[in-house]
Amino acid sequence: MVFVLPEQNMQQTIKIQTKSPSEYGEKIFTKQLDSDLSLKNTLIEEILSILKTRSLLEEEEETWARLCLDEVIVNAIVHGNKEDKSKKVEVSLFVDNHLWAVRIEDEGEGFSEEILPNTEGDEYWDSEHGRGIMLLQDYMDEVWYYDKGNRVQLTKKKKTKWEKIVQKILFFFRLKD
Amino acid sequence: MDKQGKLKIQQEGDITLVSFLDVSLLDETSIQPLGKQLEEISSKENVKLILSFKNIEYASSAVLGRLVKIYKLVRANKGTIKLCNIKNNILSVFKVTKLDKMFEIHPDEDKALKSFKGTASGFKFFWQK
Repeated sequence: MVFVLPEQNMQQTIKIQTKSPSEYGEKIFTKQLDSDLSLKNTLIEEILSILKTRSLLEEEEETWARLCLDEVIVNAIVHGNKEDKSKKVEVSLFVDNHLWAVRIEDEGEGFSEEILPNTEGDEYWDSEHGRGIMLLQDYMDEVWYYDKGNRVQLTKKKKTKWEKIVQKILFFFRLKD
Repeated sequence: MDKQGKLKIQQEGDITLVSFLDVSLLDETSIQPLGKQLEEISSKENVKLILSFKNIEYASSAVLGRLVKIYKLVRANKGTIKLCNIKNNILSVFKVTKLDKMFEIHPDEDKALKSFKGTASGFKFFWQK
């Protein structure tokens, strides 16, 4: 088994994939959201509630799942659709017994990889941007941007019993170091 | 619709203690109306600022970006900022995004106040609840 430490994971950069991501499990819903930030929390709560009901989300993971959902939905509304309320953000939730995935699609122009902040090195440490990407890469198992970058799929596998124990130990050391 | 949060601002001698009222989820929407006031406080020359996260259960990446902005404003005006009362789930987010290296973080308001008054060591505190 290979453990990828968060510090190494953080060095990865976001790529826009040429292929669509794999489809996982059963589609629970596809919802269209107006590009209005005040609407996002109700949808995020609904997704978290479904994941908890299906035992796909541990209580201590809730902050992380919320952060990642918040990050991609805010990006779609603010950077993708520029908060133009005539444009929609489409959110789909997929689950099976051992993972969950969300797809988010906005009507924006996408992005170019060059505009993303470089999170490597010391020059980054006081940047006001780019921390959302670090959080996505740290928690999610797969972050798959595709098309022009206006579509993304996040995937998170349910942890096995042993992975949960390792996660708790890593969490403890993270707080202690 | 989320309730509109407010800032609670207390003055302890030359130390300004700021905490959040009526809000537990800090995100792009809830930090927006508070950001300007926080930036004004942070821009005062030689400010000694304690920002308490008591009652805050969640902080999104938009909030982390705001904190970096506040840190830079405080430093540019020769002030000092310390954070306190950060719950473990948020502290782990600080660790991943390296904000724990930027800010001096104390377990509670009392220890943050004492550290300004020189009655506690200047080292960073990390704690388990």
